[in-house]
Amino acid sequence: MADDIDSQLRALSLAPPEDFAARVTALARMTPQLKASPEPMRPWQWVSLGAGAGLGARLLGEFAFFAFVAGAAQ
Amino acid sequence: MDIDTDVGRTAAGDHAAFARVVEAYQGRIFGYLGRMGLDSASAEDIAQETFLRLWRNARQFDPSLGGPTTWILTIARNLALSHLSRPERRVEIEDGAEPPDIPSDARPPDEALLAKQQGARLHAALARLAPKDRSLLAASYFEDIDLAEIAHVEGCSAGAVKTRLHRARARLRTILEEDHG
Repeated sequence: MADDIDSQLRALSLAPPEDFAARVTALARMTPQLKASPEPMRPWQWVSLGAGAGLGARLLGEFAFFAFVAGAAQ
Repeated sequence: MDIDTDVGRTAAGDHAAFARVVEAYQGRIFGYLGRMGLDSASAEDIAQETFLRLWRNARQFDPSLGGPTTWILTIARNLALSHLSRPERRVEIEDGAEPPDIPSDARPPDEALLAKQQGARLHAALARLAPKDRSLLAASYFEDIDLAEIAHVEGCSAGAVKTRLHRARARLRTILEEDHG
């Protein structure tokens, strides 16, 4: 009997209820969709971010340096 | 209109396109869940959640990672495996799970009874297989899907799918033979 395992497995299939598609579509009408995930950053965006961060660090360094010099001068 | 277009429209919130996607896949999803040995009530819950997840996450569908069939089957597989791994489900299997309703197709009574008995035996044998093997066996009967796509769904190589499928069939055959004789 185990020889016709293939036909038995095929016969084990279930069928959807008649109104299944209509019911699921009705439920979907009450279900909000999730927003698409944000696109990954492109190379020029990484370069731009790096340049901005570098400039910010330099300004911060200059401020600290002049603050130190001004403090020492007093 | 092809299914890729309908999935694209579903992502845009088109309910009619979503209904067409459900119509196109519901038979295959129920067939897959039935062959995993799930009863009709569990199959209906899982199929419903599969399509609602598809609806909710349609905007995140990336065709470069696989086609809609692979995506939908992956959702159904994960939900079915999660269902089968629940502790209360394990108790149910140990106690002897309720056999699924096998469609009779208006056969003569003897034939219908035999089919029902065979279905119940197969259902009991499937319950003794590992859930992932049940999923693999069921996926191998999924229409319009090749070995590479099954491998994608199962997260392994095509070679591993062949080996696992062969072992799962052999194990199922052994269980059926033990039960029969």
